[in-house]
Amino acid sequence: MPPSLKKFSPEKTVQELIDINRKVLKGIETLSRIREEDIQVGVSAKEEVYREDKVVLYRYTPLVAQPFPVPLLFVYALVNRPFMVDLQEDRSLVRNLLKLGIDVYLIDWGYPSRGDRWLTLEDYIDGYINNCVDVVRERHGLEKINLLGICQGGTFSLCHVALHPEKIKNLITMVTPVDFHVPDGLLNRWAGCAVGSQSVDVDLMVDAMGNIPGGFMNAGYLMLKPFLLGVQKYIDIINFMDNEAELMNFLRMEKWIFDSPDQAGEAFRQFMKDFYQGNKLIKGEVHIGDKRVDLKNIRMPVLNIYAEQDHLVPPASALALERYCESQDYTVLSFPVGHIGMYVSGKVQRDLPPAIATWLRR
Amino acid sequence: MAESSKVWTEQMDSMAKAWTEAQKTIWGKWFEFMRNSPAAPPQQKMAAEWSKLTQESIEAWTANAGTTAKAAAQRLFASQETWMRSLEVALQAWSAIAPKIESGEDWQSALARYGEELRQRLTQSPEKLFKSAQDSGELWRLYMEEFQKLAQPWVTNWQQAGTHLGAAVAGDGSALMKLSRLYWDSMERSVGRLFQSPGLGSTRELNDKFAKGFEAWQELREAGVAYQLMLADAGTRVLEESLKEMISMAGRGETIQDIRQWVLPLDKVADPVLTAFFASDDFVRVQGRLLNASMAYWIRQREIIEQFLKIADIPTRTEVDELHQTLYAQRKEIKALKKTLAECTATIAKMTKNGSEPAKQKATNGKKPKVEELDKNPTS
Repeated sequence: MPPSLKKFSPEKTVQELIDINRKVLKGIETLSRIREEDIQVGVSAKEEVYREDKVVLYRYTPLVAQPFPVPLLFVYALVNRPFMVDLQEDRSLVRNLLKLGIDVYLIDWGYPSRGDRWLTLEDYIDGYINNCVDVVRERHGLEKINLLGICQGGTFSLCHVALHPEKIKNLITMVTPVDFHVPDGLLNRWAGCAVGSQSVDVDLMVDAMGNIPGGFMNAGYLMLKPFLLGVQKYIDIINFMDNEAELMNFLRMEKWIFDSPDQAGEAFRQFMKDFYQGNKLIKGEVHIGDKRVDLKNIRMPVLNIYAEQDHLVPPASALALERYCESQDYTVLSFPVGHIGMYVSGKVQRDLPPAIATWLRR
Repeated sequence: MAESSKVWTEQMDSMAKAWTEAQKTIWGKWFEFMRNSPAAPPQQKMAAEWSKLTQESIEAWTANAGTTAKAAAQRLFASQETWMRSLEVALQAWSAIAPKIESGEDWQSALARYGEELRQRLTQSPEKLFKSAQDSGELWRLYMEEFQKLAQPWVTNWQQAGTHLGAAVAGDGSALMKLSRLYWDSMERSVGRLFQSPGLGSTRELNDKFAKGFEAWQELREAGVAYQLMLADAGTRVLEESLKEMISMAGRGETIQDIRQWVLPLDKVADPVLTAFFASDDFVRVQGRLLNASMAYWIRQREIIEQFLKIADIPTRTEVDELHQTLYAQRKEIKALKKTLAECTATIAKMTKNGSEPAKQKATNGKKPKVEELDKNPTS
């Protein structure tokens, strides 16, 4: 008999099963009572200060009497909703920054519909982001504000800053892909960094679907780690199903993960072809409208934050920024977490906000 | 040695049965409870299979829950089922190779042989399916079945929209339905000849679209088979690595304490093995072929549907997209104009406030500057 099975007994198995089922029973009872409105994300108080099409710019209500005079604008990715940065009261990057006196703004992209299918990267970067930056500048009477871009929003921020460096005082990029052809990124490979349109014919996809459905994108992300994200995660919740607080934490994450807006077709087309397949950002060949994006225009202070175990944006992809921007004040900060851990891990919640606030106040 | 293997295998079997039976009992009781709950639908029949029973219990139980909670419950049970299947597969694999390990045989060879057998078993079905339908008549029949499912809601709508069809085709609401069926029947009967015949007007166009749709569907089918074969290979590799990990654990003297730990090696190796496999150029190409074939078929389907929509005088998606594109372009133009206007207005306000050169000049003439005059001079 293989030695690893020596203490394995049917009696113990049945007992274990009863324990598991007791927990599951309690969890299902709890689940059955939970209404959608009970699972709130994006909890910090905020007000709408600007709206353009489906895009809304929010200002979070400051939590100190005299916030830091230069506000910080968050630019999130188009995939998923931006409220991951404010998931719940005790897991909120936004709230922690507010407590440290940072004046926080956030762009909510909304849910693109069929009518938004023709929106381009120019509309997003030189339109919406640029207009939001101008609104914040105007509201505060400042020439320059601080910008924090996350994931794809970080890539957008790099493009915006490269086009309008005069408007940004400090740039923070968080889990931001820069080099889309680093070999250790499965997402990069699936998106066509190695075999181009043989991995995905983006033109065909956009022509077929118009907007790219959020559910379709999500399925792709889950397939990157199918066992962990599709099976193991739900097996693990049995351990805390009888703990309502932990179960609610889990459900907030679930809600966020599966709340995936569709991607505007034309913007998706350009992002996939120019960034993932062509890797044009680091080659200086990306064009936003008729303007060329040159990362060398980024000369302001840069704080580049990455996750050491990020399976979506490999560290090497994020770290490439240093080689292509011209900032003389370039700082790198990393955490031993994955892509999502960057928003929810206890260590990051504790250490990241003060690191950002201190860096901005230098 | 062989006797101890038998005992071990029997022990595992009985454990797996105990697990399944206990699950059935517990879920069965829940289900009974559910049947009496006000949220449960009336006159529900007892499900024959455990998975169905579980599914229905959960649906009834979470009938009033929010969508996120309900979806989480569904995923929980889907994952538990997957987990139980994994347990079963791992158990089978162990049963197959354990006697060899026990008898001191080369376990690596035993494992390799088992992996190869499993791979063949897994890949047999899609190949069979593929080979069973090589003649074009059979393929056409399958294609039409597929397409009929897709077109059915549209056909029903057309049937109800009598006036359109009456004017366009035969004078009554079921005309297009009949026409469609006739068309499909005739295509099935004489597909080869239809492809070659010149045809007339919309029939010719429709023939062409159906032919292209058929080609796209065939490619999708082949790509699907190739993808399934790849996934089967990936699954086999995961199992092989999982068993290797168990053997390593045994070698290290580690003990599996409970049934959940039984699947731990699988948890440990599954994603790393799959990630490496999924990153290979071969897999990326096969996956890409499936994805691209799906999209191409999607487009072909739409072309056929739109052909019918045109006949029925209903706007097509392509036309709606064109409208959206026009609206988008105009919206963009309006935004640009508004921006220019705002800049001009700001400039005027600034000039008026500061008493700038042109304003002064006008003022000396005893007149206020007109907006139109300033607009003509963009430098001002």
